[in-house]
Parts: sequence; structure tokens; C-alpha cells
Amino acid sequence: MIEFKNVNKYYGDYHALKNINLSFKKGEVAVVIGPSGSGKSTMLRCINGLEDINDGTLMVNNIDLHANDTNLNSIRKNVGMVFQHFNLYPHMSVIENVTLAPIKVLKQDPEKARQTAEKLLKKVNMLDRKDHYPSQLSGGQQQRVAIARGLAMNPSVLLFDEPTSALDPETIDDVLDVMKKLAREGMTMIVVTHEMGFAREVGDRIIFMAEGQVIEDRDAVEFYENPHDPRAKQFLGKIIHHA
Amino acid sequence: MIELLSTYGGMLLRGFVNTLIASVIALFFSMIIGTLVGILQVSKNKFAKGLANAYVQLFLNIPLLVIVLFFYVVFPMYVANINGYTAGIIGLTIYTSAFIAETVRAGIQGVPAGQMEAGLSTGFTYWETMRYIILPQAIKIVIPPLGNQFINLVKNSSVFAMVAGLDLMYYGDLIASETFNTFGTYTMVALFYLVITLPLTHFMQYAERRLAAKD
Amino acid sequence: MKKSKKYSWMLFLLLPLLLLTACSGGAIADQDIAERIQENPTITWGVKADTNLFGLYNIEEGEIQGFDIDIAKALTKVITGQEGNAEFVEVTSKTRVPLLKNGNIDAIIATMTISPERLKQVNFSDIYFAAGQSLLVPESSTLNGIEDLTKDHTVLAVKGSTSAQNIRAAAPDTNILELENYAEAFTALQAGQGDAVTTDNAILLGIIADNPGYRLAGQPFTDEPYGIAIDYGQENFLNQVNEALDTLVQNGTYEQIFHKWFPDEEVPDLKA
Repeated sequence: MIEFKNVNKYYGDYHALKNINLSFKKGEVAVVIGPSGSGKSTMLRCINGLEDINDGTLMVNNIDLHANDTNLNSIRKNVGMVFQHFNLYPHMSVIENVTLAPIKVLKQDPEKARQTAEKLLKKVNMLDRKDHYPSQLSGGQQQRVAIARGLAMNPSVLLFDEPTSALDPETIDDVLDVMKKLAREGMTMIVVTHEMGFAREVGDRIIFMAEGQVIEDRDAVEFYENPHDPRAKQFLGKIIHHA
Repeated sequence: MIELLSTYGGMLLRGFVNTLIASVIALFFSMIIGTLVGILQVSKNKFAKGLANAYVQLFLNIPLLVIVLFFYVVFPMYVANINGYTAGIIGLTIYTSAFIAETVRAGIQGVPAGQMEAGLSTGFTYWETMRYIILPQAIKIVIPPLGNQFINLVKNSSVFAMVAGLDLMYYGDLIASETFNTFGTYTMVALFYLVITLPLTHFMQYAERRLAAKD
Repeated sequence: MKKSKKYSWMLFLLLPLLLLTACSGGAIADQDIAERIQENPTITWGVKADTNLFGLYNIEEGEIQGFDIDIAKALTKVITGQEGNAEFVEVTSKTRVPLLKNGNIDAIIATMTISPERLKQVNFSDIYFAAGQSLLVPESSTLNGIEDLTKDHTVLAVKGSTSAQNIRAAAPDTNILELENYAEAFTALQAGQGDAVTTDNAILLGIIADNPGYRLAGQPFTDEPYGIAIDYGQENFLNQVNEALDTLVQNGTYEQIFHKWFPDEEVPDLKA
């Protein structure tokens, strides 16, 4: 459902993505790892058009993202995104954060949108805080609301951009538990993270990126046990040592 | 001062009403123009952005009196005959809108970039994100500086006096030069201005508190 | 002798008061100008710098020139013996009276019409110029006098001038707009913001001299004598000015200055 073919991306002279070839299947949980500056976030942001590619083709749900006549909004409706810094709307309550796009973009009936939102908030264990404002919540709580907000559009894929790296350690597990639950339910997920426990438990494959290239793309457990590339070995050693 | 009021109170009142009406009209239109120009200043369209920036830079850096005189003297010669009052309102609107545009631009840029990305990611267009997500947050940031712009607008309307704009200052000038009671006249004029600006100040402070209470 | 002794103790009471007024700066305004001239023979005149023929700043020469200026210089020469003792301070209709009152200037010679209202504030010399109010219109105008003005006409005047009050009385139905100075009033006329500019004919003639295509509409409709304004309490100085003015008329200096600035006009009889 998502396919990168010889994709290149530049920021001025800086070659951020080098000839990326990747494909993601429906129902798959892919974990993307790599040192900072490796291009993993950039790759993720290309999928919902927050970054434009310079050449190659990127197909999402059989639509060419780079074509001139492509309506990015119609793609974004089907591609949810969870950010490192949650980016909840601070002027709206939890429930309003979740129902805004379904009501305004999908033109859902407000009552129906509210019911769906309450179901999703229950799923992420945030229903009891539905009338709170983001500033009254911890980071982990905000991130779970952000996941519910992404799910409310009923997307075909959910992108996670380092969802736990801005969180206090004690709230990380609540977020990871929600993500694991989604993975087991068959949600298609592409997750940029350093959480190797999550990758091993629910990840179908691991994509290791470095210097704008895909270095390894293998089964999660296999990769974890026996990384081929020396850079992958070194990187793995570092994050496991820290964890 | 009492004697002044009984003889010239009607003139001062007429000037006060004219100043009040002119301020309300100029405030209304400069808010609309200023907000639009401010949004265009942060838009991705290079042409619109350039045009908006040029507008702001031009009118931010010309004295209000010059703009008003342009509409009073030059505009009637080539375009349409407008009187001092209208010329004053147009000039004041254009001048103030440049300041409001700058305020709005700063307010929009004060909203974290992640908010725009979050809006776009849930399928909103750029303009929808502006409307539902960015502007409501920007308003909170801009209310205090915007209040200052409103107060300045009312006070700046005193340049109408230079183009026979029939405002409070115009009648104040007439009365002062007729009676030679400069101190008394301008004290009355100052009090009339306070009747407009003090409630406005309090209203803006109230709005600021109301919006701040929401989160 | 007895009397002076009786009152001398009062001087001791007055002394602190005098010191106080000296400190508060009131002394300048209260000082007798005629006495001061004997010690320091300069006279400071408040003049217009925006009025053609009477007082207009000449950028090339770097000085204000006009009828008012020449009269002031001639008066200074008669009073102090030296023309160069005249100093000039630019004033506007709004600033001239306060400047006179606080002693920054000794006298105002700035196209100022003698009026009862003004006499409440300041004293005036004898008439030094006999003016009359008139209308300035474009050559193509249908207006030929004040009687042609209707409620559909707009007359432009200068703020605080007697002419603004006069036109309001003479043509009550006509719209009057008052601007900052003659230049702005005339610019407004050029921009079509009004049908006529009204003020003293002499000033209007000055405008016409520089701007062809404009004319006076009919005869003057008022008698507006210009006087030199001097503060009350300066009667000694006022007498000096009046005597000097007589001297100028008698020795022909007045006529000479008059024709320098108004070559086409007849020298009026100031005593009439």
C-alpha cells in the first residue's frame, strides 16, 4: 500500500534521502531505527506529504504523491500521524481534539463523532480525562490522546515519529502498551523509535537507516539477534546499553 | 471650563461623535485588512507574501499625516472627490492595518510549527488549519498588542484636524484659536478622548483575562 | 519724607515676593520692554513665515521676507537707531498669543486683525495695514462675490482666523472648512475640496502672484485693520511703537515699503 521507488530528497545541497526503495504492506508493523540525521523522520514525513520528494516515485494507496494533480489532503485523511511532541491543540479539550477533524473534514455528525471519540479514548485509557485541556495532562497522557486523534480519522496507516522520546520514563510504558494493542489488532503502523522491546515484541520488520540510506531491512528478531552491518551493530550496542 | 462647555459643548460633542464613528469604521476595516495581510505575510505563495510584505513595509514607514494628505489632496485630483473626513478614515485604516498585519503575523508565528503539521496531518487544508487551529491560538497572543493598536488608532485620528476632518481635534483647534483658552479647550478635548480610550483599554484587558482563563 | 518712611517697611515684605517671581521665570514677561530696550536694544518680533508678501521664508536667502518684516525693521530702526536690532521668531495663529504672554516675543506683527475679542487678551498698536476680506476662486468660477455663495458651496479658511468667523456671519448657509494655514487651504482649493478660499485680500493677492489661473471674486466685504499686538502692561513700549509708526508714515518710509510689496495697490490712509 506504500511504495518508495528510487526516492531522493534534498535540503538545498544536503542529500537527505538517497535512492530509497521500500514497500509496506497492509497490516504490517514496521519499525524504523537509526542514528539521528539518518533520514528516518524525513522518510516518514514524506509519506503524508509534510515533506516533498525531489525525484523517484512514492505511491500511497495507489496514488502518486509527487504528481502535480495529487490532492494531498485526500491522502492525509487516510494517513494518521503521531508526533514526538504530541502537537495537541492547546485551546481545545481532549474530546474536542479528537472530534475536530472527523466533524470538519469528514463532515461526520457531531454526536456520532463524539461517540466514536469516546470509544477511542476508552481504548487509550483517557476517557476519564475527556474534558481536560492538554496543559492539564502529563506527556504520556497527551501522547495517548494524540493516538486517539489519529485513529479518529479511521486511517489505513498510522505513522509514529519518535512517539516516546519526549516522555518521562514512567509514562513511556502506558503509550507503548496502547501501541502494542493497536499492532495486535492489525493496524498498519510505521514507527520511528529507539524502543527495541517494542520492536521485538510486535514489530514485523526492522528498517535500519544511516546517512539517508536504508542499510538493513529484515525480520525484527533476526535483526536484533544478528545485525549484519557494522553501523547497525554499533548503534544497537549503544541503545541497548542505555536501556 | 463650564463657560467653555456651555458655549462650545455642541461643537465638541459633534467632534466627539465624528471621532467615535471614524474610529469604529477604521477599526473594523483595519482589522479585516490587517488580519488578511498578516496571514498572507506567512503564506507559502511567494507572490502574495511579497505583496503583503511590501504593503506593510510601505505604510509602516510613512507618517500617517502624509498618507491622509495624499488622500485629501492627490486622490481627488485624479480619482474621486472625497472630503477630509473620508480621506482621514481611509488613511487611518490603511496605516493601522499595516500595524495590525505585523501584530497578526507575529501572533501566527508565535504558534508552534507543530500545530500546522498536526492540522495538515488530519486532513485539513492550509486555510482550514489556519481557521480552526492557528488563528484561535494566535488571537490569545495578539490581544494585548492589538489593544495598543486600537488605542493608537483612536488617538491617531486626531490628524483629521489637519485636513478639516471635523473630528474632536479639529473643533478643539477652532475653539482654542477663537477663545485663546488653549489650556481649557485641550483639557476638554483630552477628556473626550479618554471617554473612548479608557473603556476600550478595560475591554481589551477583560478580553485578555477571559481568553487566558480558558487554558 | 514722612510718607516714604511710612511705606518703606512694606518693601521688606515685598522683597521675598519679588525674589520668588524672579525665580519662577515670570520676570521676563513682567519686565518693562521699553526699559529693557535701553539696556539691550533688541526687539523680538513674532512674524509669520508662511504668508506671501507679508512674512514668507525665503529658502535661497535663508531669511523671512515680507511687508511685516520690513515694517518691523523700520520700526526697530526708529526706536533703537539700528535696523539690525530686530530679531524675528516664527509664529502661527495658535502660538502667537502664548508666546507674547510668556515674554518670548515683544510684539506680534503677523497679519493680525484688530478685533474686540482679541483686545480682551492683548493690546494693539494703531493700524499698520488696512486690509479687507475677499474670496479667492479659480479663473473659471461662477462666483463673483459673497452674495453668490449658497449652501452648496464650500469656503476654505484658516483655523482661528477672524476671516473664518466673518465668513460664517456673512454667508451662514455656506459650508466652512478650516485648515491649518493658507498653503493648506489653497492646496485644498486646488484639490477641489472647496469652491473658494477666504481671507484678507492682501494675502490672496500674494497667492495669485505665484499661482496664475486664480482671481479675486468681487470687492472686499469687510474692513480688517491689521495691528501690532503688544501685551497689556507694556504701554510704554506700545507708545514707542505708535510714535515710530507715525514717523514712518510722515517721512515716506511707509509708502516706500508699501509699494515694494504691493506695486499695483493704492497707499491707504491709515487714519481713516
